Amino acid sequence: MNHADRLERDLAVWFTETAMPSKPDYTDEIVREATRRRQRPRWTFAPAWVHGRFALPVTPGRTRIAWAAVVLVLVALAVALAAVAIVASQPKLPPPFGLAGNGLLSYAQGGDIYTFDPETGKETAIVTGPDEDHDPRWSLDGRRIVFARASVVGTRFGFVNADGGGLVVTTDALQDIDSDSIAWAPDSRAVAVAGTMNGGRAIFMVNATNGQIRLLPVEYTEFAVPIVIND
Amino acid sequence: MDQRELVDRAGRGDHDAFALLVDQSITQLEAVARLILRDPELARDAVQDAYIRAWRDLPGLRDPDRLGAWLNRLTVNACLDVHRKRRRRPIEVDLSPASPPTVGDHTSSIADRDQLERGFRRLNTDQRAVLVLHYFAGMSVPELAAMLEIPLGTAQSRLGRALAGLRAELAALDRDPLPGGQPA
Repeated sequence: MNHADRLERDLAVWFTETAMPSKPDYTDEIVREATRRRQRPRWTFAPAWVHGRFALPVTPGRTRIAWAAVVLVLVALAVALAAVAIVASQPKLPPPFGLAGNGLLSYAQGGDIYTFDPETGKETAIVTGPDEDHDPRWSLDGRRIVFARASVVGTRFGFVNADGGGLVVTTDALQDIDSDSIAWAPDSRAVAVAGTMNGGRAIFMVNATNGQIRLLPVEYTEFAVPIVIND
Repeated sequence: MDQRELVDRAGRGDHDAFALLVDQSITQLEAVARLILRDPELARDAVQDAYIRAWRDLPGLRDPDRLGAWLNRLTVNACLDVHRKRRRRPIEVDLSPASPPTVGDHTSSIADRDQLERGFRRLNTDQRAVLVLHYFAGMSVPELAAMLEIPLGTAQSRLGRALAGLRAELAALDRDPLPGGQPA
């Protein structure tokens, strides 16, 4: 046995002699001390934690690059999730707003008001009779139509549902109107229109429910649409 | 319940499973820590630190079969940390082993054991750890390399240097047998 072999053997024997392996009496205390701590969540560990440390010969540089890639992916994911969360947290818009689907067209023909379904090609007369009706305009929620009705005293306004029901016609009339100025209020309860009454041009608001016409206290110069009305 | 299930359950916060894992491994880890640090109190601190780290990081342990090597590594790291933190603390040396020597040749003599003790204590903690893991815990050089995350050749040379260092210290003690060396 050479000197080196002897030293190694002596060392092993000495370790065994002095180690005195026995279960320490503080085992329970260690368990209590350890388990009162919080464990790291599983997702905070890189994939293959032990495999990477014990089996894969990954160089430090590559490890840093891999970590940087992981961090970048996580940041991108967090940004995407935040964007989705922000968009999803926005309050849902009430019926007049939001994207509208394709619906019926409305038009005037021969003094009557019609709707037309582009999908089916079906044409429906929703306001008929001897009166001269013209310039139909859909409400913003797509449920009501306002139209102008010519009469001997001026222009009245009619409101009707998309199916022809719920017809309301104003009693009062404007001497004339600028038909291009007809604008629905966002809540579909009124329309604003520029017209003439008693010789003066002004802006009027027409109630779509009871047919009352109200002069707005604003000086008319040039009516611009769309208009937002807080009735 | 086998070790894999114990590791899985402990990794999910099961205190009883963790207690069983500690019970199965603490004798070995405590002995390793005592041999490296040569101080029962420091060894206790190191073992406690190692198990606290083990509990915290158990959810990340993907291969339960590696538990033993992982715990050894945590213990060695804890020994290094404890040694660094308490470098100035006087070391208590237990010269009276509880069990009698099992080998009856000259190495079992008090004089030889004392020489080994003093020579070993002159090594740095890294060198002690390598020697303890190889000659006491029975880890092969490839296992040492994997556990310490160093190349195989580096592990081999580190072990060789530790042995050479110990041999040099013993030779120095032979020339000057009085315990005038600086303790670790």
